[in-house]
Amino acid sequence: MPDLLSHMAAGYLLLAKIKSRAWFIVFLIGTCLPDLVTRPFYIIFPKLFWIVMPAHTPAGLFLLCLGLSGFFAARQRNRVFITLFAGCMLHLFLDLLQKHAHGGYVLLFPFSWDIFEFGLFYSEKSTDFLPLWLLLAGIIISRIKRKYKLNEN
Amino acid sequence: MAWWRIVFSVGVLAVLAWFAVENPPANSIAELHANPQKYFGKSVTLYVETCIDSIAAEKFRVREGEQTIWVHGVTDPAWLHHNLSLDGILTSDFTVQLNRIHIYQNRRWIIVFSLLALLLLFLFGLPVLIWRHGAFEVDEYA
Repeated sequence: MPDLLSHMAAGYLLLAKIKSRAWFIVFLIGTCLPDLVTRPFYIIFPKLFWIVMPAHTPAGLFLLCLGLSGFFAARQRNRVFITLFAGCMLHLFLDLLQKHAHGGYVLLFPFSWDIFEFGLFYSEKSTDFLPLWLLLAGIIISRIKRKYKLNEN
Repeated sequence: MAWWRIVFSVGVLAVLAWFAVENPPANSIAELHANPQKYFGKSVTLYVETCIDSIAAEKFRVREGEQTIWVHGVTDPAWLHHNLSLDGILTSDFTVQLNRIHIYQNRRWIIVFSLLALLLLFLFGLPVLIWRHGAFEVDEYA
């Protein structure tokens, strides 16, 4: 998988679309969520692998975001769900760019175990791209800050 | 809080977890253990989260969760505990004759960068979530 820093940096590509800093942070939480709720558990407790695996699929993430949104005030609940889920989908899209000797990601679980990926690079290569992602994120942040300064003036 | 959302999602996630445990995919060591006859002599792939947990002469053992299987093939001792994905042929003595393998390098750096990302999220993200009137809120003025 690309590292979480790459996942978050990719989220900045959509920063301009999410005008509120607070909601953008919710979106960034969504970009980390699929790995946060799976990998630490089965790395530390390998027996949990198949138990947590559904949380890294679209269906599992839909349910996870639905459940998490339930902890929020009624007026924000739906927006929290949509924002978190959008972040999760960006995470899955980036994961699909990877390639494996023979493997991929299960998109239609539980209806099918068929795997799919675009197969562009091996997952460990994400650390090679990280400087590029961070540079792009930095450029986007500075452009938006300059735009807000101009608007204030 | 919307308790129905929480209970419904936890309940269905539990059902999905049970389904995954009881019906692992064909490209998993768990499935090979459950139905070996079905795969003898056939090409099998091992799921992306397998890792090498033991190395012997001209073979190595890969682990997926609590399931393991031996793979005939030479591997570098430096790859011990590395994750991999591979495909090969399942032989009648329940070992895999290796065809193709990819070892995931830089795993340590991926974990380091991921922990850094979590730290940044914790430092900058937590202040936007506040607890008020019995529920969380996104503090839009943060």
